[in-house]
Parts: sequence; structure tokens; C-alpha cells
Amino acid sequence: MFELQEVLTQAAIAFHPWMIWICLLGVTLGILWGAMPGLSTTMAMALLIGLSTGMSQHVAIMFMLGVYTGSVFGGAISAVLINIPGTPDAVPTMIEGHKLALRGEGGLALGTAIMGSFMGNWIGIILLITFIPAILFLALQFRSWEMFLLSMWGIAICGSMAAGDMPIKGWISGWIGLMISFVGLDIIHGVARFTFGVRTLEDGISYIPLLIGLFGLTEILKVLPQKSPPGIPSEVGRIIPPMKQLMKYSKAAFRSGIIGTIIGAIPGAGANVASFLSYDIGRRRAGEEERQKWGKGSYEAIVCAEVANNANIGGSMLPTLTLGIPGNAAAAAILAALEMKNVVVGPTIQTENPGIIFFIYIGLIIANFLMYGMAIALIKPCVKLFSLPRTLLMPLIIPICVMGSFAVALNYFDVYLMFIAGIVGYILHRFGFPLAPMVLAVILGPLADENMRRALLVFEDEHWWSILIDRPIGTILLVIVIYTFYDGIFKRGKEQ
Amino acid sequence: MADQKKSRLEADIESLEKGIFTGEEGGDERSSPHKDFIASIVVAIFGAFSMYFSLQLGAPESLYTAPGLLPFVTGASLILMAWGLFVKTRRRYGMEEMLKSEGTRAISAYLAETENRRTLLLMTIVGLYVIVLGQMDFDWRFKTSFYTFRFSGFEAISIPVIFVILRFFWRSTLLNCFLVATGIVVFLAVVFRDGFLILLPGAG
Repeated sequence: MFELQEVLTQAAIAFHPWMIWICLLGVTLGILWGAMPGLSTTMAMALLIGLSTGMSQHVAIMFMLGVYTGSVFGGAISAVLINIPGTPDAVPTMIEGHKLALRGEGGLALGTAIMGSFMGNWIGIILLITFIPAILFLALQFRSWEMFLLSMWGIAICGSMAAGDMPIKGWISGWIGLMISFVGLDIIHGVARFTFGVRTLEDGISYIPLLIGLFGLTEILKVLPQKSPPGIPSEVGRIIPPMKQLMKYSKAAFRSGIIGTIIGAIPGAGANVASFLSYDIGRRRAGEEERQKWGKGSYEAIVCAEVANNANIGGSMLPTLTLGIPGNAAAAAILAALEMKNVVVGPTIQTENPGIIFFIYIGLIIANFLMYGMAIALIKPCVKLFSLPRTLLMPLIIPICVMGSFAVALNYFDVYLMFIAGIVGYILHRFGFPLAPMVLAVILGPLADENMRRALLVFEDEHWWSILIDRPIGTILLVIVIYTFYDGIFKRGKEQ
Repeated sequence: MADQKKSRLEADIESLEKGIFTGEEGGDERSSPHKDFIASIVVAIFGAFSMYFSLQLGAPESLYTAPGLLPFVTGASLILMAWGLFVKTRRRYGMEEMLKSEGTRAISAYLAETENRRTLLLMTIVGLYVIVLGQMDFDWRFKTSFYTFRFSGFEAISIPVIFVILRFFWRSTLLNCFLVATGIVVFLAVVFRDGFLILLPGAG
């Protein structure tokens, strides 16, 4: 009864016309951003955190959810129409969709992508709502030892997932992030660590300017100097696909939705892994006739990729909300926005912020409906947008990086930090190191540090075997951490 | 390795065709054995420094709560990982490939590419922009009956910087670059300052 009342209260806030308008603004910005080649979802999320600083708690959350939902879909538009994926997860959609566009079926390919995204979001949201109570219950059993292991697993698995066949590079990126997170006053003794006499560093290094630098400025440095490919606006044609055609792919959609949600829940594995994996599994599972079409313009392939990358949104929110561990870099931006608005994410989210979870569910549902409507409405304006060169658009993002990093704490030091992070991110990128593990580690570092030292104090007079027996959840987590490293070092290394 | 360089998009398409897991951000297509060799040395040095400075922090109460404990362990594991990267690269490509360095010619080869020169130029302009904006501290207000127009250090620096970047990269006419730079900076300033009540850098 209490929960129903809470749901109704949050629904009343979420359905306020101002909230719908803000969500619409977020979705529209997200779709346009995602549609522009070179502008990724994470970049959109990182930069728009700055804009959300001036908003109230609920408005900021609604805005960020709108941007997240819109930008994940947006990549499909340019992928189909101009054969350049707006976001990396739209590569499978590009392979199939552009072939269809060349046959004059671009509109239908986009319509299938929109429907796939809509279904994917629904599957992600339903699974999120279903599993949150169980994970929250489990998370409440966690003590210092378990929280430490969970944080370390988050960083390790993120490294493995982000770096592909060189997980060691992902781990190095994560461990450098850990070192960055240690800068500042130590939480237990108040000792200044790695500040080298610089007073500003005593407050620690905020991860928001880091996020903006690594995913905003680094992207600009990567993309702007490249020669701009010519935009090829094309005719769109019919958009809404026939219902019969969609029903044909319902099995593939359901399977891809589950894949996308599970992948989203694993730290570091985001929409790219989800859409690639779902596309690959879809090809293996497709009927003989359909399989012949893969790579030459298959609607089922588009459904697989788009359902998975959108279901990923719900999945990524699962560890973000319940454990405080972002499911991917875009979810890290959501986490930053939540923390900036004093929302304590993690096992105690329900008690410390009653109702906020329901608001997020409703926000995701509203954003999904708006995404569906706006996606259809924005296809034609997007075609016009593609005719604008990247060399015109990218410089305009530079002031947003500066304003966003300054707005967080009104401290100009953060702008310098953003710039340094952008340069470091570019160098790491050139050396083949992934960036998401570093951001995740900066977020999780303080949690790992504090909980490890607390756990060691608690265990001071205990034998290691009694710790293993008395703390079964910790023991399971320890095995998972060891297995993650084992898998990265031995199994994946040998496969290559 | 260098002659086999692929773009991220090409690598993604290839991995999809072959069903190979390339990870969320990929990376192998951008690296080379020599780069990995350099990275392993730099990471090892970074790890050693971290360990050294962690030891300097001491242990105020006990070793278990020492502020440098986890940083020390992290530094040590970074050295191990650097060793792991070294060994893995050596196994894959051999020591000869790893040490194959063009010395100063590598720098000239890097600078010979237009894209790289443009990147360095962009880095310099953005760096100067950030430094100069940090020195700005004024906010002029012009009150009218319907609106207070404001001109701060942010607009004063951002408009010329964006103009210069547009001129270099977009290569449109002077007037076009100026109009776009002014329009976007003023628009952003109004949205952030008046729409969302966020203070701007360089505005006092």
C-alpha cells in the first residue's frame, strides 16, 4: 500500500507537463546528438551533466534519462541513411540498414530500428523493475569486505570488457584510475595523499571534469582533425513497418532484449558489446532463408542490434542504482548527475531517497514513448543536419566542455583538469588503452580504499579460513574476481 | 603493423564478420608492438613512483589502516601488469618488432601527416583558450527596460577562439566563421546563465 502511494506520488511528479517537456528536450537533444557521426552517447551524457547542474533533482534526472534514451537510438539514423554510424553500437545497423537504403527501403529500415529500439527499451525497463528488489536485498547483506571485492570486480571486469583481446590494457587503465582516485585527503586519517603540496588537490579529483575531458575533449581531438566525409542526404520513404513484419521478428527481439539487458548490467560492457553480440547470436540462430540476407540488408539483423543496444539502458541502470557501480560510461554520467543532486545510489537508495527508483522507472517509460515519437519526427531534420560538416559542429562543443566542467563546483581548477584529461585520453587512445575503466575506477576507488581498510581492521584477529567460511558472499565474490583475472590472462590470451 | 592499420569502423565490421570479441572500446587497431613496449615501461615507472610515494605516507595507527596501503598495492600491481603487457606483446610479435623504433624519424613521420598536425594545432589552441579564460574576471552588464545584456570574460575569449578554430578547420569565409562563433557562444551563454542559472567561467 505504501509503495503504491509512493509510485502514484512519483508518477504525479513525472507526468507534470514541465517534466514531459524537459524529457522531450533531453530525448530530442539525444537523438540529434546520437545521429551526428562522431558524437557518442557518452559524450552527450558527459557534456550535458553541466547543463543539469542548474536543474532541480527530478528535472535533472528526467533530462539525463531523456538524453540517454534518445542518443542510443540516434546512431541508427546516420548509420542507415549515410552509411556512417552515429554511435559505435550502430555499426551492425549500418551494415544492414544502408544496404536496404540503397534499395530504396531506408525508411522501412529506420522504422524497424525505431520499433526495435522501442521494444528494447521496454524489455530493459521490465527486467530492471523485476530484478531491482532481489539485487537490493542481496546488496544489503554486503559489508566492507564484500563492498571492497565488488568494487575491485567492477574495475577488473570493466577493463576486460572494454579492451577486447588485450584485457591487460583495460586493467592498466582502471588501475591508473584507482591511483587518481587516491589523490586528496585520506578519509580515515585525513592525511594528504599525492597532493605534492597543491592545496586544491586536497579535495580530491572530481570525476565529472575527468568524464568530460576523457569523453568530450578526447573525442573532439580524435574527430575534428579528420577529413570530413561528405554527407549524402537521401530520400527516406515509408517509415512505419507493417505489423506482420514486426511480429515475424518477435522471438529475435525477445532474445536480443535479454542479451542487451544482461550485457548492460556487466560493468564496462555497454551498447557496443550488446549490439555486436546480439547481432552475432542472431545470425547463428536465424533461419536458413533469413541468414542468407545477413550482411546484404536484413530486417531481423536490425531488430537484433537495435533491441539489444536499447535494452542495455535498463540493464546498465541495474548495478548503477543498486550497487553504485555504473554499468557503462554513459551510466557513470547518470550516476554523476544523481550524486550531484544528492541522490545516494547503492544498497540504501530506497531508504535514503524514498521513491526515486520509481521516478526513474517512470522517467525511462516516458522517455521511451517520447523517443518513439521524436525518432519518427526527427528523421527528416536529421537528413538536413547531415549536410553540415563535422568541422563546423565539433568546434561548437569546445565551450560546452569548458562550461560543463566549471559548472560542477564553480572551480576553475576543474577546467584545467578537464583539459589535461582530454590530452591524456587522446594519448591513451593512440596507444590502444580504453578509457571507461579509468572513469569507473575513479568513481569506485574511494569505496574500495575505505572498505578494504575497514575490512582489514575487522579481520585483524581472525584466521583467513574463518573469513572464507563465515562470509560466503565475500568468498563467492573473491572467486569471481580471481576468475575474471584468470579468464583475461589465460583463456582470452590463448584464444588470440 | 603500421601498414595493416585499420580504422575503428573497419575493425568493427571485420570483427562482426568473423564473430570476434573486440570489446566495448576496441584498441588493438590503434596500437603497435613498439607503442606497447613504450607503454609497459611508462606504466612500470608510474607504478614504482606510486609505491615510493605510498611508503612516504606512513602508518599513523596500524598497517591495516595505513593511507598508503591500497595505493602501494595498486602501484605494485601496475608493475606486474606492465610486465604482463611486455610479455604478451613479446610473445605475439617478438622482441625485434617491439624494439623496432624509427627514433627521431618517428616524430617527423608523425608530423608529416596532416591529421596529426591538425590535432597538435587544436590541442595548442584549446590549451591557450583554457589558460587565458582562467585569467579573465569581468562581467559587464547593460540594463535595458526588458533585458539585462551581459558581456563577460567568457564571451570575450570564447568568440575569437571558436572563430579561429572554425577558420582553420571549417575553412569558410571570415564573415561566416565570425557569425557562427558569435551566435553559438552568445546562445550557450544565454542558455547556461539565464536559462539554467549557471555561472560561467571568466565571469567574475
